Amino acid sequence: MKNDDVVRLFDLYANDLYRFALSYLGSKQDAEDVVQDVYLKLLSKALFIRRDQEKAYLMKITANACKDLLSSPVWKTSVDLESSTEEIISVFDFTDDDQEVYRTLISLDDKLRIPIYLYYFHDYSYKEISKILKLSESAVAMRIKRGKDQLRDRLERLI
Amino acid sequence: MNGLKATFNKVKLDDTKSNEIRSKLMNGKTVSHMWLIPVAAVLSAMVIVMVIPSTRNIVVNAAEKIIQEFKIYTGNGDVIARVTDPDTGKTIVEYYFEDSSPSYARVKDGRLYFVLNDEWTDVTDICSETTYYRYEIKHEDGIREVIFVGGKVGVNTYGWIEIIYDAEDNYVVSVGKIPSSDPDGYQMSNAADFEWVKNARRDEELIWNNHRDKDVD
Repeated sequence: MKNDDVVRLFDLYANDLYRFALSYLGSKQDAEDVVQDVYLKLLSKALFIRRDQEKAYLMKITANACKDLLSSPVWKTSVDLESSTEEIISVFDFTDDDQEVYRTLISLDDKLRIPIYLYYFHDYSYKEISKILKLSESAVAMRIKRGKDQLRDRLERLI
Repeated sequence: MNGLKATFNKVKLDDTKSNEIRSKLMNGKTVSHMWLIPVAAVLSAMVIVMVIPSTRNIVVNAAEKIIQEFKIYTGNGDVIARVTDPDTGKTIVEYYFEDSSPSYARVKDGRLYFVLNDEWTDVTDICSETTYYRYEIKHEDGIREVIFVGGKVGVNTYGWIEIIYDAEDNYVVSVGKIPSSDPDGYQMSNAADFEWVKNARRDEELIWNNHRDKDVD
């Protein structure tokens, strides 16, 4: 892909991908690395994307990169989520309400957390989420339901 | 705005990191383009590249003259693109298979289905070793995808072939997947071995020739 095209996509969607990666990984450093890797890979591929599918495509690639990282044995032993959460709260100057929202989301298992994030932050439909995460729509619906059940009365603050 | 949105809207890449990545992207090197057949062979062993015979000279010659660039994300998630190499002026067609598993032809409970955008159409009774199901997608920018599903499930001659035409009805490329009868799994096959593929190609040429004859002097 041409440099100009990749930079255009970076300017448009880098923050969306970063937020998504952060919701996935819970680590500022790793989320930054994923975003960088996603865009660098675009440079190295002879790839073209339809304009109306750019964001969804990038979200899908980001999800794949996050999944690969989560399943890495190195990641499992090296990431301290509590310290990462404290760093994020500090860096982004979260209010008490923000902290509660963030901690509530991060408390969920990633299988539930990610569909919940995509549904409530990006307003994606079940179908769109299924394509990003390569799940069936029914699996997406089930995970969102389970996530809501787990959060129960804390969910009001989230949504 | 809900709580999740309000909180995560505060989350942004910090300026230092953003500038660092941006600089790498602006100065990073891109790879040189590769020709279609080697790319397809490297990316997916299940892919057959089918080229319409040279009798369609008008199409071939016209394709080589194309200077426009187009990009398409096909129904099964693959990306096909055609560009002109700025150094040589040659037309290059490229594939990127994001996921090798999606297929227009799927089998379930012994029945053959044409699958597109999660919609399953039972084509078992239409398809055989000599017959096929044809489906056409016309995009807003004029690009056409013509998809064929054919063959028979029990003897592993089933599969799909797709032909892409640009907005000027020039043939761009074709691709397909047909499993072999090898019990060990999918292997590279020669599409010409399958009668339904030969028939699809022949019929498609007839349709195309009838259409183009209106424009050829």
